Amino acid sequence: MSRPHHGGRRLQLTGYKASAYERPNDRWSCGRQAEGRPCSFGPSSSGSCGASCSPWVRRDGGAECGMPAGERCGEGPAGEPGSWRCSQVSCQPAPSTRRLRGLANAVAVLVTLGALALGLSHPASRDVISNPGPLSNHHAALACADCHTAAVKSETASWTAAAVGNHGGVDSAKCRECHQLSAGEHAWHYAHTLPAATLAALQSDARGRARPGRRPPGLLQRGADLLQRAYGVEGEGGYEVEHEVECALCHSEHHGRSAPVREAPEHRCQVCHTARFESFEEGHPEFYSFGQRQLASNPVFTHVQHYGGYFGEESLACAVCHRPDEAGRHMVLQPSVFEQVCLRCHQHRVNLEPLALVQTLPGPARAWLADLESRPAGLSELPEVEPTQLTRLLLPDAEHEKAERALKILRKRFRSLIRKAPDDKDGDGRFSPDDGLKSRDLKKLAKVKDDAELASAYLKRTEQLLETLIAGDVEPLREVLALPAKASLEELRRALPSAALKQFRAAWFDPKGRSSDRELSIDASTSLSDGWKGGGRFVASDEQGGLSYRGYTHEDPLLKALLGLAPQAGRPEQQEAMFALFAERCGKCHVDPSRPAASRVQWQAVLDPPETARRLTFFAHEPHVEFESDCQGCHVLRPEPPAKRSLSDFEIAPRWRSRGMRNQAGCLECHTQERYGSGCQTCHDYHAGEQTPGYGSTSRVK
Amino acid sequence: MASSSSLRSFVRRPTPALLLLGGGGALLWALHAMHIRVLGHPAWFSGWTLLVLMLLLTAYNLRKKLDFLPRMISSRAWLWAHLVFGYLSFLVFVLHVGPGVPDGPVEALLWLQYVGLVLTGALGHLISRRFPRLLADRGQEVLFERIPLLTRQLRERVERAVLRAAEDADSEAIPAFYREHLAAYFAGPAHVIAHLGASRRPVERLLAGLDAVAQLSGPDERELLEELREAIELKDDLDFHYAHQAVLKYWLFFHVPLAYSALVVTALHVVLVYAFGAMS
Repeated sequence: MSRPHHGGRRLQLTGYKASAYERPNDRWSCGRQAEGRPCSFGPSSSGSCGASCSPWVRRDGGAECGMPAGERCGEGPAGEPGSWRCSQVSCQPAPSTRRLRGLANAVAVLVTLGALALGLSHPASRDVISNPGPLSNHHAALACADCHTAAVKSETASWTAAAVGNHGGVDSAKCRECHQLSAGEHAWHYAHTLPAATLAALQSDARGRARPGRRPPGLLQRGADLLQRAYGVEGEGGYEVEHEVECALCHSEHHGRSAPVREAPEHRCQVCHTARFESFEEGHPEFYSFGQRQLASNPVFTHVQHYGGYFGEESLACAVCHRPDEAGRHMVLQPSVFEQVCLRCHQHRVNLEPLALVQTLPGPARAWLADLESRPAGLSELPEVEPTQLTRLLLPDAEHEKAERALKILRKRFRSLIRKAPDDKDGDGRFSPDDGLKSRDLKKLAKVKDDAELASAYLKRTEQLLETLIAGDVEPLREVLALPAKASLEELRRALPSAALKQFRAAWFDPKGRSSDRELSIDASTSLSDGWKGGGRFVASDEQGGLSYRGYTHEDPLLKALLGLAPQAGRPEQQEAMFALFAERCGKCHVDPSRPAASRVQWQAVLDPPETARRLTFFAHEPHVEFESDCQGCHVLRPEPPAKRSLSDFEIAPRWRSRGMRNQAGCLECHTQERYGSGCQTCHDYHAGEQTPGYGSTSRVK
Repeated sequence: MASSSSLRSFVRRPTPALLLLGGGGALLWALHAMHIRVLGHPAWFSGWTLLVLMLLLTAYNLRKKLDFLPRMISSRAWLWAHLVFGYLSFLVFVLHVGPGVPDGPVEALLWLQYVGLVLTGALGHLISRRFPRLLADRGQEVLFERIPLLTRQLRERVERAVLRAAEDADSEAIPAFYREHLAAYFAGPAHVIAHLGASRRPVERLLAGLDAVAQLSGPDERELLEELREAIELKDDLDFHYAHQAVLKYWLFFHVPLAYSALVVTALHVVLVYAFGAMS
């Protein structure tokens, strides 16, 4: 509502002569306007006062106002002839509001440009200005150029060139200088770190399993599909599998010290995965074989036999043997499960009788074979030589048979000589007529000379085998066992105390050596110059004529190395012989006779980790174990071992099977966005291989 | 005035503007979401859209300086579009930046500038809607540039009246009241803050003082006092106009320079994003 005018007076009169001509849009205004005394002339466009003039001098010496007629001030020029001047006092025009606004705009732009130019001119402040935020703790020590190609020169001009050109951003190759992936050298650049062919096969498999009759895509998804085509990306599967994926597409930095760089935003998955479903709750493809492969255990060990049988009455908790791995995904064995649980029954598998590595005749017997007329002191019987399993493995069977026959004949001859001449009556250390022997008896020795040479040759070969092992030069084993070139003998080499065995061998086969040097006992407590720290004990003596080894601990390095060579032996009979050597030892648990020789030895009790690492889907056991607090809530022991031994001896609990454990219906009871999360990364990995969070290039760290 | 009529239409007939705001906002949000699905990066679409909107919004200021444009697009349409695009840009800004202040100095500065632009813009929109109506309700129309002249004329009139009171009516109270209270009041703009706060308390205090003088004055002086009362009320009207028109003029001293400065920082931001950003 309008207020009445006070006394009928108006503040501003708008009549023809009552109102001055204002020019608010001009650049200048009269300098006296602020005082309320603006003149009627106003300033010029250049900002000079328009009220003063240059007087016009007449011929008679007088002066006239210099302003055009109608604009004259009426007072006329002041002064005297020769020094006429305008009688008006000029003012200093003031900038108008419009001009002041223009000046303010210019000042704002100039100040901003100046401040930025000043900041960008110095390298230190330039780095601060260009830094969009703190790096995460893992990368905090890195410099700009460690990740950004554009920052190598650290010049503003190079930034612009990088921005306009095609070499800006984060160079993934620089990420690779520290972070290795277990995939192939170039696979890291591919989607899911998988070779294109592998990913294509997975993609095809996934499409084949796509649930028919899914609900139609929403309007938003249809729009995204249209844009997808506009960007030249066709098909429901997303990008071509050969498409290169830069690390920075998912792993974003500069979001603070504690920002999770490893975790990628969910929406990044849908750059490639344009399969038409909104979320895990809405249209996720059906699971197909979930919950099977993870449970497959080593077929040598069956839970039915152990958990359900031997430990049946003890109600052993699963956690006694199992724990989640570091990632909390797979259940692995407790580190000391063998010592804590298995040794209750399998002590005898470890603390076994010594394994005879080499067996020859004792020293005196070998001396008799070298000289049949000699009579070694203290030798009253030529002992039998049972070739060790290792000897049998390394030497042809025919040699054993020939040697056994020859030794049988020699043993008969030696026994005959001893019976006829039990004492060395003449004391010459030889079988002689003075001992009561007839020349006929001595002549019979010439008939067994060939047998003695045969037996000596056999024993020599056995000694060579001993020499091979003792010398630490295990390479001859490669030839004997026909091992492939890539087979490594390093573990075996490390398991042998080579220097000590060499010393022993020199004394053993030296007839003039001291008898005390012909005894050997080496174990982990023995101080050896080569620093050998084995788990078992080597025992040898000239009297016994053999070298044996006794392991005392689980995972004995020598026995493990020898068993590890079994699948690599060139001939099947050699492989079988090697396996037989350990049949009652390590092989009882670690050799699966039902498998081909190449995969028969299984040191891992559960699924091979590399196999799990290559998978893109996982089930995180740890949170579920904590939630359920009892594995049997999900895994139920079968009543009998499965017919197909590669399958698990557990099955999904009926209560889960009936609720759809194998599809998302069971998972959705808990896994929603509101409760326990339903993001892609809850169950899916992006990188198919293992990642090495390494800092290999220390030069990167400043 | 084209601008006030467009404002009136924006306020009194809000349906087209609200429809455009709602529809445009929904469309921008949908495009933003689609681009996230396609490109996997939320900032690309929103960033470029925001830059285009900022250029369009800044062009409104340039348009005032280009005389030929009114023939193509009316000032009213420009202002209407400026308001709609301004509010739409706020939505895009939120989509682009998300919650919180960015960590980088350039980005944080740009965030502050944009928030400043939004606040000053919204304030400008608010006062552009409200103040013209207040000025019209006051019942007088005064050019802002003429206020000093009118103030001087009022002051001279009051001074003449006070001289008459001293000489003709031999009054001492009126000159004393003038010296103590009215001289400063008529010297220039007064009670600016009170006028912006819709308060008449300062002028009521002056009038109350004048009433007190009137009770001690004779009949000759009362006529002069009435003249003074009218002058005080007229000066109050002038101050009211000055306060509101000054805000209408001077808020642009914050809004427009901030916009130009933000454009400069935006240019650096774009270079940085494309030189170092993950999606470059």
